[in-house]
Amino acid sequence: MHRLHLYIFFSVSIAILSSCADLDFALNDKEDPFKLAIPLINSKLSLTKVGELIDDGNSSLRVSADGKVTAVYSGEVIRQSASTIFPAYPGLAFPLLNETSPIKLPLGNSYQIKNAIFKKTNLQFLFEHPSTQDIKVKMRILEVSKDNKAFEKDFILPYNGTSPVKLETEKISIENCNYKSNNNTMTFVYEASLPDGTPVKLNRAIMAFDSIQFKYIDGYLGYHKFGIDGSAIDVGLFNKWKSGSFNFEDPKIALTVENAFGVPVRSSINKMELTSITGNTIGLESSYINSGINFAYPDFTEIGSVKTTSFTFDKSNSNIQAVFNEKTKTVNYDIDALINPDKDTLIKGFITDNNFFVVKVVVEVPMLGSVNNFVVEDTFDLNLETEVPEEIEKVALRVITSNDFPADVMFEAFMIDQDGKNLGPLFDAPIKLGAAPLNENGITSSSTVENTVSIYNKARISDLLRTKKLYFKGQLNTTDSQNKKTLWIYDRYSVGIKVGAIIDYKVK
Amino acid sequence: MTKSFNTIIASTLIWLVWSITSNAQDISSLQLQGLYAGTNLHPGIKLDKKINIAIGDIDIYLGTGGKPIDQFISQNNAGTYYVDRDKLGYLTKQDQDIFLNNRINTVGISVLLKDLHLMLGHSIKTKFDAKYSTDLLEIATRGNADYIGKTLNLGPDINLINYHEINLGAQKSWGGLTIGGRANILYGNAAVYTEKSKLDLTTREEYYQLDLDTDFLMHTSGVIDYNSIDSIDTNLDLNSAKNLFKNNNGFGLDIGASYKIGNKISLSAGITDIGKITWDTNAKSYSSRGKYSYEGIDIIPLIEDDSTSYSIEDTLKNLLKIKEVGGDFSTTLSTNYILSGSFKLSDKWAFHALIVSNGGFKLRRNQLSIAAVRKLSIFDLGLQYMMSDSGDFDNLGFTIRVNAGPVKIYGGIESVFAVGDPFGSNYASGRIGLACQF
Repeated sequence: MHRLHLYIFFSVSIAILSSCADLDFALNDKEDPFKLAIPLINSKLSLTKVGELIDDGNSSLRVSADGKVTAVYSGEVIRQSASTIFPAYPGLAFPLLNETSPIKLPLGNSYQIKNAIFKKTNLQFLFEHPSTQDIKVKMRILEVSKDNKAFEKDFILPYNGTSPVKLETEKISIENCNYKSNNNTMTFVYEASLPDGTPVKLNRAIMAFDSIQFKYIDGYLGYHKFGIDGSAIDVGLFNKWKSGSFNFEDPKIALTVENAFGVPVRSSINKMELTSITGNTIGLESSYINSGINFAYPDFTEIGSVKTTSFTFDKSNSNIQAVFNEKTKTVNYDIDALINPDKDTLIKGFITDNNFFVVKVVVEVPMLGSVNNFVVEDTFDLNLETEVPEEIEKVALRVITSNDFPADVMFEAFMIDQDGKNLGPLFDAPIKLGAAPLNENGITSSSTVENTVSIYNKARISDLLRTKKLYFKGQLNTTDSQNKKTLWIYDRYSVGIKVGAIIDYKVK
Repeated sequence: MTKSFNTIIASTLIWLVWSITSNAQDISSLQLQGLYAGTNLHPGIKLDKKINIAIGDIDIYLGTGGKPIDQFISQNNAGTYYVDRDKLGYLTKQDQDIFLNNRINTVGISVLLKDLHLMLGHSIKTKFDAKYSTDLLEIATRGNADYIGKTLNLGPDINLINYHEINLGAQKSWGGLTIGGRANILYGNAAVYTEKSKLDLTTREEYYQLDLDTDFLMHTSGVIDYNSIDSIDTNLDLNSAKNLFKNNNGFGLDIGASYKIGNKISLSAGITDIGKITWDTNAKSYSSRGKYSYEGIDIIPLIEDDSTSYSIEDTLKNLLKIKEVGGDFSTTLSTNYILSGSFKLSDKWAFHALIVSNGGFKLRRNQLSIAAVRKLSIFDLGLQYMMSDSGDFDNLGFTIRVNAGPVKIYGGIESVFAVGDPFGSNYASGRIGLACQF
């Protein structure tokens, strides 16, 4: 008898210690099941957390100092370097027909270089004379200097029993040499003489560049047009839209240009279009699209610095508000940058070899506005991959939701099996979250809390475990949205869900 | 070997079946005055003859200080007994208890040298007591859903020691006064000692969050090796001789005195099991202290990272946060206090009275017994009655002793009602043994 007493004691102890999860003993022979109450889920999703979740580099949330939230969708960052405007020129050879030979640099007519500093540029000379003695050659380049000394090199064409005497020089680097000219030329001057000093004229003299590259140039650098290429920005805000209207108060397309080139640059917007989720494309209309936008550039006292120009297409200078609220899905743009757009040769500018030009286009949607009868639909994959313990008779789920947003939210979900068959609703009734009350500043002052209970019998639990997809449908109305009352969404707003279950467990 | 809880239960049952073969400071010892077995009550019980040998003197008592088992047990049609949740309301005390004392005197011998009886013997002793709450029974049979918003006290208080005892004693008489003492060298086999047992569970009303408030400290040697709540190594190999003369050393002392007034009346008093054992072999201590809560899974990390997984079951199992905190520990022996009196009315009739306070870890049971013994030929037949402070007044028992020359065989039980109505009784005791006198 007392053995049984001990048996019971130990069984009870074990049952409790193992959290009632594995009851092999007939501690209970009653028809009434063992009832286990247990918390399942406790989560709170704030907008701050949403921002972390969606931040993929292109989509993010920006929060102002006072907590106001702006959705930001970024396009590709386009960067153009100095080599786009001043590419390295290929090597060339020129005959020096006279002792003084001006050579026109192959830069094209649009450039009027005043000053430059060479980079990775080498010269090479070839001399020939029908002499039976050594020939001395002094070569100067009038426009090239280094450390305030003009370029000057001495060479000897050695006679070694064979005439004519020749010399093909080594490559001579003029990197970091200064170039100063008013007409894009280099003047080569040579003096050739016999060993006794008698001047002679070379019967053959040639100079060659392996390439022409500059670290720095200034002057009038020509009119150029280079594309920033067409690009598109995905705006995911309306992707799950089914019906309803929006009134975002101040959507924007912001153009930011960082420019280190010391020359005037102006935008040439070939295309700025917004395409809705229904496929309707509407062009952005703004006087700035026609006139272009002048970008700031550093002057000669600011060489090496970067000038930033920010320009925003908003409701004050474009039709963006009306177009965007038609459920914009993508923003497509094609922009060219014009160097010296007015072709004014009196405007002197500079470029260094590490100058760049960066264009960033972003769509900004301040979360200020109203949403009326916004209905969304989506389907999620679900695979619980487990079996219902036969001992479970019934599960009563208590769902407690909390809502800080100034919006009524209603959602429901349906269980779909692998054949697409609707197995019924996930919850006994749609989950409704009332809008949180607003204070006089248009900020919610407290959460609304809803408490619902859904009962799952054995069949319904089985259905849930057979579910392969959850079809989700939600509806959202911001407070007083029928009157388009605009409200800010703050980063501290959150929705919370707590789920607990009472599991009726038949002890076998 | 790693066992699940269910295996532990099975092991426990096997051990109990094995161990409940017969210990007690029961009144039958007074009927064994003169024999070595009589000194098991206390060493002041006077020996007679020159040589006394006891073989296999086994006694046991077990029971509960609360309601009998049938107060909350029922039997279903299949004959299976189960805890009847509907009867739990009849349990008037918050804490229930159970206790077991078992002593196996494997051998004992006394020799009279001049006027001094020298005693030498070996015993194996087991003492077990446990307290468990009615809350524990309620939650185990109903689950926690019926106790939402309430705090349940679930901490089990389990204590067990099993040890070998080598005893060496002496007894000397001065006229009617006999004084005896026995020194016991102890070798512990196994121990579980629950020093602190607070384990309160509250199921909150909001969405059934679980709060645990614990201050639990259990020491063990050779019984439990805790890995996790569902992985516990157990070893209930009690009463083995493997630790004899080796580990877990202790020392005990029994003392007693009896005084004979004339030829008819004798009185005695004794104290047994004074001492302690230091457990240093495979000794471990497990603790859970603090306030812990389980409020469900935060599903946001699961959204962030598909590879993140979570197990409610694992979380619940780890909620107790049991840590291994120490090693060696000591347990004091459960000291017993004995007073007795005997009246020999005639050669055929004798009457005895006994007051015993039996010690336990956390429980102490005080009982009063009276007995009448009738000598009939080679038989001594006894009828006895015992009552205790646990509220059981229905323990009527009997003894029998067969005097076959130098050989004596004896046995008895303290509650015949426990035989006929095992579930209606809350105490049982038995004793059996063999003795020789020369």
